Amino acid sequence: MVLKTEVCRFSGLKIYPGHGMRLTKTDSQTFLFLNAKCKRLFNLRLRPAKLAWTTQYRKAHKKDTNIVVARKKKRSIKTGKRSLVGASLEVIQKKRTEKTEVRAAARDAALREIKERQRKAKDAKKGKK
Amino acid sequence: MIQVGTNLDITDNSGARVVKCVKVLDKTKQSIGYTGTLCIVSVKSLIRKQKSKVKKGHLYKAVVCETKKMGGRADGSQMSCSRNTAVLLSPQQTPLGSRIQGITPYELRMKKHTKLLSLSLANV
Repeated sequence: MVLKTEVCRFSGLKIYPGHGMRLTKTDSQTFLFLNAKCKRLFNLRLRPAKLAWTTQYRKAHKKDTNIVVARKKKRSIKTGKRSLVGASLEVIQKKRTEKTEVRAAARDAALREIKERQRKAKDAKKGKK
Repeated sequence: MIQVGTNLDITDNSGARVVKCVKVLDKTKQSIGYTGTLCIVSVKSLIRKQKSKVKKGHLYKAVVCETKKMGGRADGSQMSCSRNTAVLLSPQQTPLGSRIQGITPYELRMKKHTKLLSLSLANV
C-alpha cells in the first residue's frame, strides 16, 4: 500500500495523512507545514537553508549523498592460448601469424577451383542434350 | 469563530464588500460559526453602488467560507486562513453572485453548497 504524502513548505519533510497545517493567504496561496515548529519558524522568517535539520541545508552541504561503490573489475576474455577440439595450439598460432596476402591468395585459389568444377558440370549437361 | 458582531469580507461579485454578522443560524448554545455555517448578515459597505445586487443596511443570508481560527478537517490535518470571509445567499439559499474570488474549502460540500464550489477559482 502506497500512502499519498505531501511535502512540508519549510523543512521539506514528508507529510503523511492525518498531519499538517495549511495556511491560506488572501491571494489563495497555500502553505503546508508539517507541525507547529515549522509554522513558527516560517512566521519568524527564518531561512531553512541556515538550519541544519532541514532538507534544503542537507542538500546544499551534500549530507545525504551515498558512498560511491567501487567498480567491479571486468573479466578479460583470453582467446587463442589453448588448443580446441578441431585445432591444436600449433595450428592456431600459425593461423594467427599468417599475413593477409597469403590468406587472400588461398581464398582466390579455392574460388577458382569451385568455378571450374561448376563449368565442367554445365558442359557435361550440354553434351548430354 | 464567527459570532454576532463579527465583520466578514465578501468574496463573490454580488457587490458587497464588508458585512456584519447579526445572527448565527446554529442550534448550539454557544452559536459560533465555522466554515459552512449559515448566518444572517447586514451589509456595511459596497464595492460599486450602481451595479450591486445588494443594498447597504439590508439583511441577507450568508455562508462562512474562510476563518482565521485554525480548525480540524476530515482527514486529520488543520487549516486556517488570513481573513474571515463569507458568500451571500438568496432566501432560497442559492448564491447571489456568479463568481467567487477567494478559496472555498471542501467542508462546504458536506453542507450541500456544491454550487459554490463550482463558482470558485480554487477549492482547498
